[in-house]
Amino acid sequence: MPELRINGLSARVDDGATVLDAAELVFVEIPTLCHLKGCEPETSCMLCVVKDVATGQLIPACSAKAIGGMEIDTECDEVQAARRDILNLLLSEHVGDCEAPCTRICPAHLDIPRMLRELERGHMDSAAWIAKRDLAIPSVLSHICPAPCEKGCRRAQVDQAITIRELHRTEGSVREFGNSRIPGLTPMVTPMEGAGKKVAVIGSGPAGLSSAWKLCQLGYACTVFDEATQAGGTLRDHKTLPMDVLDTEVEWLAGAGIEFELGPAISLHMVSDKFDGVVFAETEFSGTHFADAFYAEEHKLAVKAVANGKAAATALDRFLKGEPPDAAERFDSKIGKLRESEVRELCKNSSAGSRQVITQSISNFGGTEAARCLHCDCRKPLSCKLRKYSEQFGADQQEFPADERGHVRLIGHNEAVVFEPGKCIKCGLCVKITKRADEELGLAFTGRGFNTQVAVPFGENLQDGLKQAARECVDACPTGAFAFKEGGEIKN
Amino acid sequence: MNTDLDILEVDRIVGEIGRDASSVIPILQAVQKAFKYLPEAALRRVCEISDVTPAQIEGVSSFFSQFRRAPVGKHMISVCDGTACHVKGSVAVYGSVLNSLGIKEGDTDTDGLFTVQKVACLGCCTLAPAVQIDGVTYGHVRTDTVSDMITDFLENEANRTPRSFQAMEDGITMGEVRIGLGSCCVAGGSAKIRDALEDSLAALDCKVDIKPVGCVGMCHRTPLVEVVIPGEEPVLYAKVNPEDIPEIIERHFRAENPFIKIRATAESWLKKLYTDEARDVPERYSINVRDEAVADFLGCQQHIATEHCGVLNPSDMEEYKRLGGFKAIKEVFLTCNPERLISEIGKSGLRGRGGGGFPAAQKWEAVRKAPGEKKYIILNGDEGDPGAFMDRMIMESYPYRVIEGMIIASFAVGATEGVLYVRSEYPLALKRVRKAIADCEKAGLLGEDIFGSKHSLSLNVFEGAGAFVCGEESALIASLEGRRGMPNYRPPFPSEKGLHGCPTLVNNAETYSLVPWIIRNGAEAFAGLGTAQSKGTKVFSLAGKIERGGLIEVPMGITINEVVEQIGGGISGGRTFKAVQIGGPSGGCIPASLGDTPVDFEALKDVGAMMGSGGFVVLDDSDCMVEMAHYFLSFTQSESCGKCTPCRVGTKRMLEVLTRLCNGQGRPGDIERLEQLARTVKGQSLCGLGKTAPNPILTTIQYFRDEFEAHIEGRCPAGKCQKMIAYSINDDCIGCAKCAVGCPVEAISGEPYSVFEIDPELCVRCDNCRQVCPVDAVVVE
Repeated sequence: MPELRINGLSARVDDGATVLDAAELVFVEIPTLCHLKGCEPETSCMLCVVKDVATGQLIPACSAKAIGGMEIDTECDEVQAARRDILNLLLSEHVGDCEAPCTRICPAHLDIPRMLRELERGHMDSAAWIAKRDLAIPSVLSHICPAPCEKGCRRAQVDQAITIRELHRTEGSVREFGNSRIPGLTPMVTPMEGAGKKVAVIGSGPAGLSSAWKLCQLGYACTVFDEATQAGGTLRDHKTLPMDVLDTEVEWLAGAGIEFELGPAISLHMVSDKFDGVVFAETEFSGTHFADAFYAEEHKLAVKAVANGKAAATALDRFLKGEPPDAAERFDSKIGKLRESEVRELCKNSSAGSRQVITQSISNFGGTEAARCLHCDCRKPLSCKLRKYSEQFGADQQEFPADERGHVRLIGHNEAVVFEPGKCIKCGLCVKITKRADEELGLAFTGRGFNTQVAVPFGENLQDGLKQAARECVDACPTGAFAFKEGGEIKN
Repeated sequence: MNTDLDILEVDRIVGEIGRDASSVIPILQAVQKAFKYLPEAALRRVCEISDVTPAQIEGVSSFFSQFRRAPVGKHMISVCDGTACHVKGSVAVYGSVLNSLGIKEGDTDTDGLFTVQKVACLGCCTLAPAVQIDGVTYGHVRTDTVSDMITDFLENEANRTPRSFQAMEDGITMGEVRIGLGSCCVAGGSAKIRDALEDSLAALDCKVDIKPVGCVGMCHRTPLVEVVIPGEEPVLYAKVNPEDIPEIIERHFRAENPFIKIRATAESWLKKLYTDEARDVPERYSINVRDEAVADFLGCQQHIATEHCGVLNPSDMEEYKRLGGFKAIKEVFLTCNPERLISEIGKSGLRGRGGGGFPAAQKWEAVRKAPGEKKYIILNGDEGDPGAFMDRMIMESYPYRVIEGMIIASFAVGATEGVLYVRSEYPLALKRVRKAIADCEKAGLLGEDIFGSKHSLSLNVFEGAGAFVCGEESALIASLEGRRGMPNYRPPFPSEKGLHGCPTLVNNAETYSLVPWIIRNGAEAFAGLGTAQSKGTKVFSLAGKIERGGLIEVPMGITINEVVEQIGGGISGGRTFKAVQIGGPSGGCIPASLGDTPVDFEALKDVGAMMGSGGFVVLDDSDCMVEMAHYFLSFTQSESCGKCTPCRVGTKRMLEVLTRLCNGQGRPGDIERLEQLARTVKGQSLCGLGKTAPNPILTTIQYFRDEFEAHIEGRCPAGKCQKMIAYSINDDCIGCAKCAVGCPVEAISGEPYSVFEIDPELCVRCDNCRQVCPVDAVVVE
């Protein structure tokens, strides 16, 4: 039983164990993409490199055997830089967006593609919940938002953008889910770490309301203060917004558990005594700034104010939990404008109709309009390991720019599983899995070098190659290359 | 389209080769041979009747460049883009071939007659640029001779049936005529020479042996004919034409029957009178071995791996024995045990000649000690470096020596089964080793209980299917097992876990061929040659811009300058020595200023190059170093197996930067970006291919950084990078129209006896016009 040291921690492993096995034993995490327990190591991605201190060489932990007396460093700058280089290389050939442009452009990052897919399937409740969860006042915004999301919509390259703004109106159904649970989507009004703590939000404009709602979702008991007698802040002066829409939103938020203290002047001392944390949500901050207070600037662009409110809430939450401020944004792979041929490729998965103006109830027309979505977002935005590690190691997609990016291709248009070769990192897991599952056709590597591709032999259909192992392949695939067509992961 | 496919043929092939999954490559080779490509119906049939799976057959058939999934033309034109051909203008030749057939890259012409492909190296570096049409090799092809070449092929070669040797009569002969039958000589036309010799000798009724010999090494003067008459000084003729043969024969041999002599002479006189075919033997072609140039070429050389070069008939086992062959085996079997044998090899200081320079004895010892009943021995003959053909020549010319080396090594490590893994691009080597194996089996040198030693060995031949990466031993083993040629992480090394999981010894042809000499002459004799760390000799293929190229074997420690100046005869065409590229795509460019560097594993590594398998390409001041870096990387990039991220993506990104530089679109920071990518690829790639791929780039940046900087500014100092140069004709033009006639794309026009013009849009910058202009009126800017 060889004994080795990993980051100074002693690990005794069985003969034949790898450095990766040893690291796991002492709870040192080593990132891997092409590794799958129970499969022979592929040694393809090279993300798992660690430093063998004695030789000074970088070795792949997944394949290097643990040898007695080895001294392994998994953290040094050299290893970090090497991993970043690997990720940058993989990203330089990654043909796919982590998020659809609509979501990326929306200041409040509404999960638009997911919302549209719920609408398309007729799950009005789920769609409404996503809008509510991300926007706090989605119906208000559906009247007054300039809808930057629609300007980013790739459907415009075919005909016109999807009608997104009107689709996040939360009609009737939204009333019900204050306390209900929608399958697959769990409203966050459940006790969490924030439970028991009380927070105050000063100001009831869009930033304030959004901040309060986010804190509420995080499990805090939240009170909104405003010297005005009606909640809504600057929204109350809006010329075209029907005030009953705003009233309904405020009512709903109150119903969801947010306390409103409106009218009397606010005593800051009282607030700071009675509450564990405070968010100031106002247009301008004059006078004293509180050292440990959080600020959410109101903004004339309401959706931007909503975004500010959410950000302040998240920051306060981290502060109260004693976590450091979350500096890093989510990593986003971006491919930019699509080529004509690529738009056509994506169109195969969406309905052909032209843009509809939603004047009537969403439940009547929302589904048809939503079905126009090209689904240009990633189907595995949360479980993608490439994204996760890119974020963790601070990867930069522009470090090694390609002359020309690869083509967006989608294989399996009418099948349960879709395969996007542009997102494949050639780790070979799916090839191994189909072989192990004794698939009649299975999957094969074809070609060589940079042109290596995964494909079903003899150009057969994807479903014929994946008769048994489809789920296993989707689960094992470290990126969004293999996914269920109707799949999609629920963000929170 | 495959409805009329002969399924029975597929069944026959599988029946003959075997149904196990590891037979997939030989099966595919046989199927392709039968159908000229791999029809899908045939592949599906293979899967039906064997253990080969669809995923495996799809993966393997698309991995190796030998395999074609689409039908091709009747004839295959392979334009060599090896290093030597590349520096002598193969890219323009390739363009010209496409142009003259009116097709695009990889296409087949409309008549379905020709398919054109670029190949890594035909191993005819001294005939550069070389083009192969089916089995016929054309050397020194120029852009303006391409259409003649194609016409010649269609008129003469396509229907030519090769003649077989006439049986030699026993009895006293008047002497022998030796003709080189290495690939270079064959490509240089030695087959036609052989026909002419037979005709002439028959006409004279002379009893003269025609003796084929292996490579003489003087590939720059092929085809070579040597006349040896007992008691006389042998005479060597170089660059012989078939028409010269009657004269040569008449000069040396007299007909036994005087009447025949007269008739023959009269006939040849008549021939001379009435045709313009026959010519005098040009005196300048006849060279005496004691000529200074020849003495220089051969003088510094030391023939160990190539012992008896120019004398030994490659396929004559008896002669090999007469000259001391197989003596070493007896010596070893009678006097040695494996331990002592390995310690003897250790004492000799022999290091693997495949590139890495790993001490042979250590490797052998590891295999010997590795636990396991079954052990294998492999000859790595998958030499794929562009610009290198040492292993090819050794296998072609000394097949018995290679096998003798393998038998000794197998005895040392306890291997009982072996494979000779030879590139399928080397048909002659394949033929000769196959024959040699059969001869050895007959003679009891292979088989059970060799010479009563209780040691048994059986050898098989495996044809490599065209993947440079299979020179890496774990990738080689993967392909032997019927998988895509992708390497594994080592350790475990093949010495511990190799073919079919058994301990396996892998060495290349040159390494094995040195072994018999070491045994016969003693380890000390071998260790007495060379430097402190690098013992013995090294075989190089010397090519490029030198006077005398060829295959040379020199003692380790000889300096680069000595090789270039003495053996190579200096730079040709009055240009200046700029650099030498050693070690092919894994090696580096060493500038002329470091010409004192000795040929030694460590010394070469210290200057950023490496021994590699032994390409030695000399560059002059007209060669652009950025373009050279681009050339080598485009080779390794296309040969990357695609397994590990650094090599698969990193080499691609590096190539993009280099392509940009060569196109005059370089950006500030490109050099640094290249260096950073090179560090990543070098440091983190899985196998030797990736780990060494950046070497040519790093060394050219190190020694020729100013050229990279110039390219960023949009200048190519050597005037080589096509996008940055323009051809024009100045007023010195006399209107002779030579340039216009030779232009492959009709870009040059003008009235006779006036100044001609070049259309820059049409011009492909093949440089032909500049070369043919009698008054140097073509200028490059």
